[in-house]
Amino acid sequence: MSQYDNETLSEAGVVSREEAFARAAYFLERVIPVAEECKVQMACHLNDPPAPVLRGVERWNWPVQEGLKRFSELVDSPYHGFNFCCGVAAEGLENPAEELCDIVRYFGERKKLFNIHYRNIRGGLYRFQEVWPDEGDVDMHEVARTLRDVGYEYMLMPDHAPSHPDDQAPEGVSGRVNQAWAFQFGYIVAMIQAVNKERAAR
Amino acid sequence: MHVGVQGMGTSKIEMEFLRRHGVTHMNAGMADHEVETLVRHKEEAAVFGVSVEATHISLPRSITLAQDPQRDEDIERVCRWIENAGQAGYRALFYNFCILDHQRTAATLGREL
Repeated sequence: MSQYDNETLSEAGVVSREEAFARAAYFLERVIPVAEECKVQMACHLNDPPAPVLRGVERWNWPVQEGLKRFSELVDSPYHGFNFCCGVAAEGLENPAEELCDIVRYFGERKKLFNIHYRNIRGGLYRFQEVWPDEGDVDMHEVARTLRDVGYEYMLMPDHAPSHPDDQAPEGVSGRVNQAWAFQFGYIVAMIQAVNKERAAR
Repeated sequence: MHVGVQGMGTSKIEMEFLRRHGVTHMNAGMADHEVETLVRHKEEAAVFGVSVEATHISLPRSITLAQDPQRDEDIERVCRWIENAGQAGYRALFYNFCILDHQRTAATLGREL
């Protein structure tokens, strides 16, 4: 893995966690009432990757559980929640294999999960690699079981599939029309079948 | 729960790709968030039995960087997108609230090839 330059500031400059939450609250207090009226769920993706501070910006989604909890409570509404990326959340944890499912359960039980990016990593906080769902450190079967158990009812989708020079999409369409995504669709379809069958067999 | 996808459009090639892999729900990528566009993508996908239930909106930087007075004007724009999504029958809008964009080092190949 190559080294990351965490010294050079971005156009955002230096931003504290308190300021980050203040900006989020300013936005949410103005858009969520409209979302409620229109019955449209607003699904916020996590900042990728979570870390205490990157290039001068303190990340609102770190520590992961605490940051997401605070963000989710900035406004109280069933239309305010997350596009929850399992990979991103894992990237901010010391031990994703032990910690991720509890976070999924916490927000799943509170109906804050509006979409799931079902992807895996190897490693954790400060040092990780995006990998195929079956070869990462998180047991994705357990993640699917947890989602089933909290009654999650929306999409599980791949994201950031590993690439290969031979695996090219046809011209003129999304680069995701390729083998990598087909593989991940199959993995997800099988996983959903498996956890639903387990429940039926209880 | 069911398999889904985002980051794809609703062209024939994309729809046939999704259908043959059992994907019948999606977040569709689109050029704008006008009602006609949102409805058109829903209709194009429906022909193939795929339900477009969401799309992604990119928040103007004035919102995450707190650049006033532009911020309020841009938040109003986001509110119109939400109204349009509701009118077009979308379940959800996906967004990022990034003060600093996603950060990555160089890519490597899968399975350590």
